[in-house]
Amino acid sequence: MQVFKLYLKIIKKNLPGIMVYLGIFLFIVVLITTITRDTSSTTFEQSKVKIAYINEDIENPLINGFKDYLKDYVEFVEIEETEEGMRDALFFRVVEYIVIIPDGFVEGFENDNPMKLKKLAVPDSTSATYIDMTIENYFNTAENYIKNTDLSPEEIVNYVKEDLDVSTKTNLSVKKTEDNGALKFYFNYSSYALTAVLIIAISSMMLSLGNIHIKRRNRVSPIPIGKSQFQQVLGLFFIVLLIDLLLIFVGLFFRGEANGFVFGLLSMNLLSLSIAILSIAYLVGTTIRNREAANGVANILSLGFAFLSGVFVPKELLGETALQIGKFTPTYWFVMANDSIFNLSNYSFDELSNILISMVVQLGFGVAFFAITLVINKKNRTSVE
Amino acid sequence: MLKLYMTRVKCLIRNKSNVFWTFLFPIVLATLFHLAFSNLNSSEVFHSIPIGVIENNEYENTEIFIETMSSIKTSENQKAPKLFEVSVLEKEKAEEALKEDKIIGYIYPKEDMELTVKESGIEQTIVKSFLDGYSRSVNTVQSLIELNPQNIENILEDIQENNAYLEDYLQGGSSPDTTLNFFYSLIAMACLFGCFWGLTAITDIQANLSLVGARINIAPMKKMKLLFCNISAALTVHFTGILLLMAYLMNVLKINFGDDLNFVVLSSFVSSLLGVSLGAMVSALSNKDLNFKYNIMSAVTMFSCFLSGLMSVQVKYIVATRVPLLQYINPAHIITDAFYSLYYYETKERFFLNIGLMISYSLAFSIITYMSTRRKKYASI
Repeated sequence: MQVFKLYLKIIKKNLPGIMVYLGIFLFIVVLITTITRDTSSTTFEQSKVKIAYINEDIENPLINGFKDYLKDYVEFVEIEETEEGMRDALFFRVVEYIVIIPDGFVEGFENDNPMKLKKLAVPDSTSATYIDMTIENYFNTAENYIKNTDLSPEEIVNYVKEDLDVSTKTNLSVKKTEDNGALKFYFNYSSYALTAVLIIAISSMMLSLGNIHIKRRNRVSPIPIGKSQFQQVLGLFFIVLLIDLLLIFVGLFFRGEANGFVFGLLSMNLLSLSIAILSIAYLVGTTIRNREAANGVANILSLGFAFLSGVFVPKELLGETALQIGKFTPTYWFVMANDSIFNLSNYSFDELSNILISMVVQLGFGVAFFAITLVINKKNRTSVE
Repeated sequence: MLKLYMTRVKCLIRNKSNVFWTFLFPIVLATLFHLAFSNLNSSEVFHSIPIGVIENNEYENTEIFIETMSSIKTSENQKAPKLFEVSVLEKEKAEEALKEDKIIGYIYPKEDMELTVKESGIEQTIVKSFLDGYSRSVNTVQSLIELNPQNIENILEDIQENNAYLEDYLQGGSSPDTTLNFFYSLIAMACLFGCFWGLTAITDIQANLSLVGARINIAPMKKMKLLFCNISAALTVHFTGILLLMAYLMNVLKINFGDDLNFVVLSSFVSSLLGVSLGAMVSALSNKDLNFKYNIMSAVTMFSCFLSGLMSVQVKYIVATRVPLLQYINPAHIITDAFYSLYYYETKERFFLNIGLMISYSLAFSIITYMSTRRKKYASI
């Protein structure tokens, strides 16, 4: 086990660098997990669109009633009320809709000479259509009362409120079992950290033996190349395990209501992914000669995989081409397995076998890339450079 | 001096695999982003909502209800898309269609309507609020008639007439396209990765960091000159790569950078300078081995880009609103914001603030680099 021992030594030497690197990526994962929250739940929840409400007019029963009415449909968000602030908030989707009640609106409205409300929204978006509908509804109803009755504004608001206070009974056809919110995001995001860290760590360790003179010296040793490669991979697997354990350990903090079985499956899935990534990193380490290249490849693969397989952007929102390409990455199958794990409802054979298949596909990637590396190694053995 | 500079440039571009990877990698990533996001904004755009209505012969108004539902449009414009795409189904068929995601839900029409959906979401909410609205109009008519029984005809007329109470504000200008921030952040990453060029530029002239550096230090050449030549050579190569990336983004992927090409080039240049000088400073300040510095710089850069919205756009806004100080410190944020303000704002104040910040940081980094590399003497290396 000389080669294995050598690799342990190299790991020990590189460990501080790798740990700092891993720490930063883990920090990214934890931050982004806390920022994103899952919204799915077991009862039908009316979606609340985030809007900013800016009143430049006087306080008035009609307007107060309007704001009160909106509460059921929207979530009010405070934003900076400058043009720049409004545009920023809309660009980053902090709010999806901004409604401004202009000065003099109420007076015009009550005297049948309505001014228009000013709105700022993402053009043609679904949520904008929804809020348009909601707002028009209120003022149209109120207008009907003003035109056809002599009630005071307070009374009108009461009538409008009563009329609008109807809620259609809504059933959910599929009941979800439990809500695991953050845990799912954590595991999905950790695939990004895993890919980035493993490729950088493994290729930089392999580079330390990449010098042609060292290579030649190793080749003349009596250890068969197959055996030395096996020990090499074993040594690298050690660092993989270390990183996995750390990722799983941090995952425990996001565990929430997930039971042990689900968490076990998630950890197994992470392990399958890391085996696939290990063999990709091994391929990168054997073919690449310098750090700049390793860094480039690590970034392309980690970010590329993450974006193509629905880690940072939900799968449903990805384009058709992106998904087709995504299927050729192990991360895609990792995310798929994670999704199925969280949708487990009755632990039937069908559901479990789906998850298992996704894991096997990831291992398949591992085998395939490993085979390619062996072929390249064999070819390189006799090359001059 | 010119010769020194030329030699250094040659020296850098001779390392073909290095140049290839650093130039290629942002371009490949941009392509992947483009693939992934081509659908992102269109998924936000409104499509008619597919909904099923179950045949219910017991409810007399079913037909009117279906007719009303299918005739609504998203705006008064004749060409506007329909709000709903209604299909009339039997109960079993409706359940099946819902399972296969052909419809987002089905309605059982009766006195108080019933809606069945698979999950909560904005489209489901729209259907629900339409149904609510339908029942509300009935309510309003009833209470109006109670209040004012002589006026039935007027009331019915008024209830059918819907006035528009909304108008767009601040029209014109660029549309708030979220995906752009991903690309701007990617540019920030590519620019900041210039720190690797800066890293080697210093390593190669410091006697305690590399053998080449030890040899160069013997030559009777001022450190200032060496430093200047090496940094400008690194900047030349790096900036070429960034220009290639920008050309690719603009011409092939058609990413929108606003109208002013000169300002785009200016900000690319200043951002490249920021990246290179940052790397140079780190290299000059630390004696750790190159591998270590490399990995740390790479991770720090990624973190800085994360904060500027590379992985999730909202992160940038959260930083800007919750930790406002950070947006003036984080280099990736400054770069991303420079491109963003160039695209999104009519005025240029914020853009110049960012450019100013970048220039001052680069200057500060360069001065620190110079101070810590000059006049070093080694008893033994």
